[in-house]
Amino acid sequence: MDIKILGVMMLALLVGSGAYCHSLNITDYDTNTSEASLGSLSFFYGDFTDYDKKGDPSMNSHINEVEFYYSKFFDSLNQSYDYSLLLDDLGETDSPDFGVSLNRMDARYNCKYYFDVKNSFYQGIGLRYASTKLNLYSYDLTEDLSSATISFAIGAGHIVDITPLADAGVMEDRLTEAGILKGPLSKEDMLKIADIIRRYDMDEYDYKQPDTARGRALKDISDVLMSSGQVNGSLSGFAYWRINQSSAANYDRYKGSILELSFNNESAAGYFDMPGNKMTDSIQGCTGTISYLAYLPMDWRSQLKMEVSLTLGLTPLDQWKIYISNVYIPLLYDNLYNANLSYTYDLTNSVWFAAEASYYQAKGTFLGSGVFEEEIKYRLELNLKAEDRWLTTLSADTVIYYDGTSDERLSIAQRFLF
Amino acid sequence: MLSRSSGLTVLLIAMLAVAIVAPFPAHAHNLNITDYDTTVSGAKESRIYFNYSKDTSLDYDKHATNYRISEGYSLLHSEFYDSLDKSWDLSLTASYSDLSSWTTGSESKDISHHYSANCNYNIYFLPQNSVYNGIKVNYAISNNSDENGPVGETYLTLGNYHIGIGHVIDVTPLAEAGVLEDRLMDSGALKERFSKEEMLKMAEIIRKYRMGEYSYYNSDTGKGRFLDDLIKVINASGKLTRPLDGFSFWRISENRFVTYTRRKGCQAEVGVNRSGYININRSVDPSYTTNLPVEYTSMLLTGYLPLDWRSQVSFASEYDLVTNYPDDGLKEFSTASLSYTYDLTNYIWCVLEGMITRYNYPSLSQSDNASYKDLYAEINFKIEDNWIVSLSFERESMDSGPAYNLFMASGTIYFWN
Repeated sequence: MDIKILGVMMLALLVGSGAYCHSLNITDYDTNTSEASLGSLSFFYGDFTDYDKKGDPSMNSHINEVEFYYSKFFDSLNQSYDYSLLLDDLGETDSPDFGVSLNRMDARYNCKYYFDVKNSFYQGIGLRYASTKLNLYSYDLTEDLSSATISFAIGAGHIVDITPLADAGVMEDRLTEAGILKGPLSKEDMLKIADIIRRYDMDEYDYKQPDTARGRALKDISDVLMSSGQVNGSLSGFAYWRINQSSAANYDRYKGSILELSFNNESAAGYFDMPGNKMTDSIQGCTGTISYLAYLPMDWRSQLKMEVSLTLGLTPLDQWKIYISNVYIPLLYDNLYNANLSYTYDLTNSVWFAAEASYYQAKGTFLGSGVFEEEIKYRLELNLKAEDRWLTTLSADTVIYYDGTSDERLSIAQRFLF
Repeated sequence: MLSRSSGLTVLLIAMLAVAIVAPFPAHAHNLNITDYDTTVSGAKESRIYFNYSKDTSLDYDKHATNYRISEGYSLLHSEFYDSLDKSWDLSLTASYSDLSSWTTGSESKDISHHYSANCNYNIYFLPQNSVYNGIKVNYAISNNSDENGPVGETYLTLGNYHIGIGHVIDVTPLAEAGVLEDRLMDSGALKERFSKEEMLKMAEIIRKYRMGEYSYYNSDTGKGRFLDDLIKVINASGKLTRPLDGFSFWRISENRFVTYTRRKGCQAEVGVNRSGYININRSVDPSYTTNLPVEYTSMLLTGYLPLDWRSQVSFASEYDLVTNYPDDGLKEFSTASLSYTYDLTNYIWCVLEGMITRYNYPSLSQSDNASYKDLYAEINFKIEDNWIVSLSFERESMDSGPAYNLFMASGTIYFWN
């Protein structure tokens, strides 16, 4: 397997990288301010009746639901926050013997603030409160659960999502290939386009006017292109379609690194009650994590990523957390190590691939028994494409477990069109 | 106080009234919705797919403890030709898949082959009198086997010969061109309406795209080429108030301009049909075979009357006289429906439909031979980016009384700072 992976990597590295000359570097992008809010109120009412052959009602179902949702976010290089509130009330009655009532609430708040901008020191907090009340009348089943999560982080460094500029770069390449652009866009125009893409990806356009969001983002991008003076004549339908292609870069791109210390405290309380079985749930646990994450963009096409983290259980954690309605079942370990190294190369429409190696180790206890997991994983995916002609995809994975056993997977797919 | 059924009837009448009285904006196109006939369209393509995957689990001595291999190949060829007086299409598919898995102490294998051929052909042999005939032939074979040998085979055949009179033409492409023109006018991108010729050119491009002609030739870039052709017509018209911007392009590229299919004309047809289904399932019993040949004569009558650019009345009926139906002895089947649609996309669109269906099973009791009457109404109100409300109502009844009632209402209001 290792030889196969190396062979495919060599092939990918030998592929021409396309000498596209942009007027700036992929790292010349920082986050601008983005902000939006949206509220929605939805309702559903339904009444269904089935009749038997004598014309008597055999089943009646009645449903009503009201849902309220509000969210707001603010995002900049030095400060960000977001919060949301979801309230949902559902009632359903089905004759002869079934009925449900459900009330849900989910409130979240996250913020991050750089208190020492010069040295990139920051702190952040996250809060979440969720509650579920469920009644299944016909089964005498009730559930009343609530959970709260508080997290605090302190760290140094910056990670900036530069995918919007990578997307702008792919767009410029495609328009140049099609003869639509006379020459490279200026640095300022590229940054303007990247910022429009970023605000669209952040859902800022959706927040303001959800039905026409895509149309207004396209208008903003095409306005920049037309005012750049680099467009041959006007933008054709094919040019607009190229601009509108939804995923320009195949892989997300980032720059920068952060070292972070974080604490996470979770608590849950409530009960699950059905005939002959009542479970109460009251859990509280705290974990501490130290992590280092770094991205190194090598050029417009390729990037290295490195991630290392260690999580320690700070309170005795020896049971599963079970939130029945939310299906939230994490096993909390005493110690958890994670390390990851990956390389991505992305020449959209021609060749793109990712190579990844990771190490994972977890130690803990579950209902009095020791738990130990260890995995070493290698992964490679390679895509070769000639638009309108053919597409080849290849992936290979190897996972080695702590006891020496392993899993290997190789997959190849080919499409020809003629 | 109204009873529930009376209340729903009142609601249905109210929905009808709202739909009919709904404002009809004075969209003055330079042609009528019926000014569209089908021109020639044709394309063909071939594709090959191949996939292979192998999953292997190894013990600490690197000996395999289980594996799973999946292989698949498929070959597809399809082509079509479509004009007002003649149309045909052909598709051929061959596929093979092999799934093998092995675990210490057991081995399993699952192999399947599938081949199919479909052909439809229609020609107007008396074009001046709109008299046509046609055939449909579909044939498919599927085989599968496991590690012990063959376990099943399925043969599907469908043959039809029909003769008819009349023409039904899909005018949806022109309806879409009309909505496109309205949207460009609403946004101020057009200084005047397109000419009849320009509208017909755009409708023809939309039709070819809907028929798959663009994606037949260019699977990755088909939509880009379609939009390129459409915008060339718009630019060449010289009626744009400014160069086309991104928002106008997005309006043009929206996938669905109209909610309901639009047609014109009427057609009467008589057909002789034979279908066969043979299933051999050796995993149940080595001699187990199901053989279901069905033969029937069908009579169809359909008609479409576009009232204007937004609204349309349509009628469809079918009577089948069954000469062979081995399952439960169906002898006759008949259905008739009448519907009205109104379509002002992004503001209000609705459908009102009534249908009567009847089955005749001489061997069954009277209650199984009932007539079913179905009444359906749906109305949607929308202000883009602000809110949407949808209401739907359905009542089905049989000879002995009501069979099914449904009422649904849903909506979303957006608000932001």
